[in-house]
Amino acid sequence: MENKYDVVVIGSGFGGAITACRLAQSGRSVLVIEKGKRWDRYDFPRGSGEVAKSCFASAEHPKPEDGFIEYLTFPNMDVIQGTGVGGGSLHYFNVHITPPGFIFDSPAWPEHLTLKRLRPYYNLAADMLGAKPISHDTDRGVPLRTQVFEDAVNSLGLEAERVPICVHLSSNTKDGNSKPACDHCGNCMLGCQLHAKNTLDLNYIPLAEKHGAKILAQHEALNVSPDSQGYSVTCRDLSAAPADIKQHTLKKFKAKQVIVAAGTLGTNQLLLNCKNISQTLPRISDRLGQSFSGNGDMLFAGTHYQNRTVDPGRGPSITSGISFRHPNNQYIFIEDLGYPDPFIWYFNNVIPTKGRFKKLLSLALNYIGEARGTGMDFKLEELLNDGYLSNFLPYLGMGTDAADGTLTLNRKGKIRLNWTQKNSLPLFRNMIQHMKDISTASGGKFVNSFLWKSPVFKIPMQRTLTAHPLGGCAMSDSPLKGVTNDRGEVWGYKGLFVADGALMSAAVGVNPSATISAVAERIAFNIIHKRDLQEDDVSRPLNTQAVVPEKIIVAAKQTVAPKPDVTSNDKQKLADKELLK
Amino acid sequence: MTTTITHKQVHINGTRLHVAISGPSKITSKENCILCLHGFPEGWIGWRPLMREMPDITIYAPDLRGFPSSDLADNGYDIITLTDDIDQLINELGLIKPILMTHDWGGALGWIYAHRFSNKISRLVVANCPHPKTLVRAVFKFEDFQTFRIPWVPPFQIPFLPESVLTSLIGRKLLALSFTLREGSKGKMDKDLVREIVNRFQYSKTMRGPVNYYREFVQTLLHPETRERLKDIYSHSIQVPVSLIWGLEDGALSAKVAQTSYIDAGCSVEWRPLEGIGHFVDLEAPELLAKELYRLIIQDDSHTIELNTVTTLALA
Repeated sequence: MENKYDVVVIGSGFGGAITACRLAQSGRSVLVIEKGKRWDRYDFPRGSGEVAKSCFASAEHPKPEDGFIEYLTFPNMDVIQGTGVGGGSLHYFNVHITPPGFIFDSPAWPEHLTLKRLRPYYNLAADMLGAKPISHDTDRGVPLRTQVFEDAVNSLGLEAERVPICVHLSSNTKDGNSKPACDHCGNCMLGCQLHAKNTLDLNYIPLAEKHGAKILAQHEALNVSPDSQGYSVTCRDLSAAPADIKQHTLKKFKAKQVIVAAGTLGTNQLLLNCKNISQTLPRISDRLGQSFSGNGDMLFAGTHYQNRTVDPGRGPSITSGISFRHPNNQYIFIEDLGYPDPFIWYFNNVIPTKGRFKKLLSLALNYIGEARGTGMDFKLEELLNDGYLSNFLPYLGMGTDAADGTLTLNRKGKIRLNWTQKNSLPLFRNMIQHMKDISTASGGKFVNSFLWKSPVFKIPMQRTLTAHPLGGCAMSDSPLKGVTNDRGEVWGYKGLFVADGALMSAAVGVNPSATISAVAERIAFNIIHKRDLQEDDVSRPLNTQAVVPEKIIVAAKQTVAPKPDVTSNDKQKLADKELLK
Repeated sequence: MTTTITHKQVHINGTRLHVAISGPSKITSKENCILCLHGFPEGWIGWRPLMREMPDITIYAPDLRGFPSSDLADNGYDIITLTDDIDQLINELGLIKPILMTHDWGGALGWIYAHRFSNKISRLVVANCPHPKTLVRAVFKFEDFQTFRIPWVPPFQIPFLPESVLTSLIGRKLLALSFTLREGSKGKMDKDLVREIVNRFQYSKTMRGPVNYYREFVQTLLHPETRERLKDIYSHSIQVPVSLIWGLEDGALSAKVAQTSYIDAGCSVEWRPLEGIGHFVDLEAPELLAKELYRLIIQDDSHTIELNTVTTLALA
């Protein structure tokens, strides 16, 4: 196997796929190392048994049959992240939203990084990912959850905005191609079987492969060390036969440039290992692993209505949002949230509702009664109509938290997160207050996250779950403040880049995938052109493969393709007959 | 099918009204539309279920003067100014002969508006509100116990107290109960919507305007001058077709009294009773209301086609 490349990219999430694609387009030889599997659309689990078996992956003990979602628990925060070719895009909730400009004005961000400078990159990524808000003109219109959320926000006297989502919503596109549209199944988190969700393995990664990039799935990068011509990356083949000797499953690749984009926790784990344990990159700034932020994520909170149907499981998982701005540039964004079906069924069963037992009893009586002809009215539909989540509008809250978490390694060399909610409490209090306001104004009852406050006895646990781990290798103006410069290059190591959520210097306040994409586009553009992309730039990277006009192809086929050769076929048959004689 | 609801602020008659508009597309229709006037104390939200039931029709629903989301005006709660508000609202929005769909207090305004400006609307549809003159006469003549059916009107005459009581925590609960307890046997009221309506009244001033409707109407009846004015208005009979949709399980307003509305309207009133529905037709049975409205719209359409064919025949 050829083991010298121009660029080795570790990870194939938003950072990795985008940089790999752009660098391959510029003619460089690119290798992408990805820990997870490649997922075909019918591999995504649907039934509850399948979900239990092949949805979640263990970060500690990776197994080849594992899924694409990793759930990690730490003292005060849980983290959910993706693994697989396409990274977080496989399970993410499709939101591609540009944060407000003042987010980048905070002193944590490098001076050069402004929304104005990033905007062309945002547009470039949005175009590739097909980001568009949901509307009535689409095939299935607007799901009920969106309507309920917008009505609820409306009752406060505010108007919710539809967020751009990277989902294919209408089957007929302008260029005449027919592609299946979203069928509102609501299982965005479990991977899209229709390929209506524009995950990275449908756009950036195939484009990279067309330009010669190589994707090495099920390989976990273990170490990066500098050598005379760049860097060498050691990785382990996870798909190797189990009886193989550990040493033989290791592979080594050499590259002039290495881009680390293994997801926030993965990147930090790899670089911390290189800095502290193997000491191959000892000069990385001491800020490595500092200023981790959970993006102020608050999941599982919501409004429970008495008899208003919400059906949170229908429609793309996030559709609409409302922003609040407080003094000191504290920013809060609240969105509606959908849960995938298996979880809805589970919670509908587990959460007790008033009089369920009584209802079941009377249902059984009515069933027997009707079977025996006593004229009792058995209604099968009543089995389903007291599900707790059917009338529950879940929220996803995000905001600019204090970004004061620390990532370290435990004794086994695995990542460990130390985060306390103490400095972020004002944000979470405001966020909960806003959710409460929306709930009461719209006539429902606010239900807090069961991680934040226990549902029974109301014990304040103040735990959070984040789907947006950010920071650890912050971009900065100097090595004293962060780990990389504003173009993602690690201070002190030329040619070593970071290009994922780990770069975020502070919380973004909205779903960060668009920002990570834009920053990754910027890193790639800067590596290639050593300058910034302008509006209407001639060297703007193409989002499609340069295609030869169709007419030429048709003409070429006509000249080259042999005519349907009936005569020769007949001759053959005659010859066969003669032989038989 | 779902609809998008947009919101507009309209400055008219010295106040600001908030209007919610729902329609099939972004360009809202000025013709063949419905203007909905809400009752006490719903506000525009009371019409939201109807908007969802009629996604292909443009519906305008204002918050009337003094209701939250509109300006909490200090004065102008007499029936003349209130109907002027509606007239200027129709002008300002540029509506061409809308169907006027009204309920409860909005119904009273609708009746009087139809007396004053018959040429501005294509038809009047009233849900659960008798003609105001009929109602007043019934109250004084004890027809069908109508006098005892609306016991909150006298206490509403006390200044300041009713609004502060109704906007207190217990008052809001009572207000919510006044919706849910009066629900008809076949009504399907969205209890969360009721709570949403009631939670709009957070402090005493938000309720002052709505209660002032009752105060000013009694004042109008007491003063000989305004009573004359009202009499003068009633003397012009209504020139548009009127339909009276009635939830029969309404305890507050007697169906028997309502059926005599035609005497005072000066025109025939189409009687459309709804079985098993209570007072809040807009909240309990939006689908039945929508059916009634569609029936009227189709009827109007075929009527104009007929007229057209008649004229073309005549021309030929």
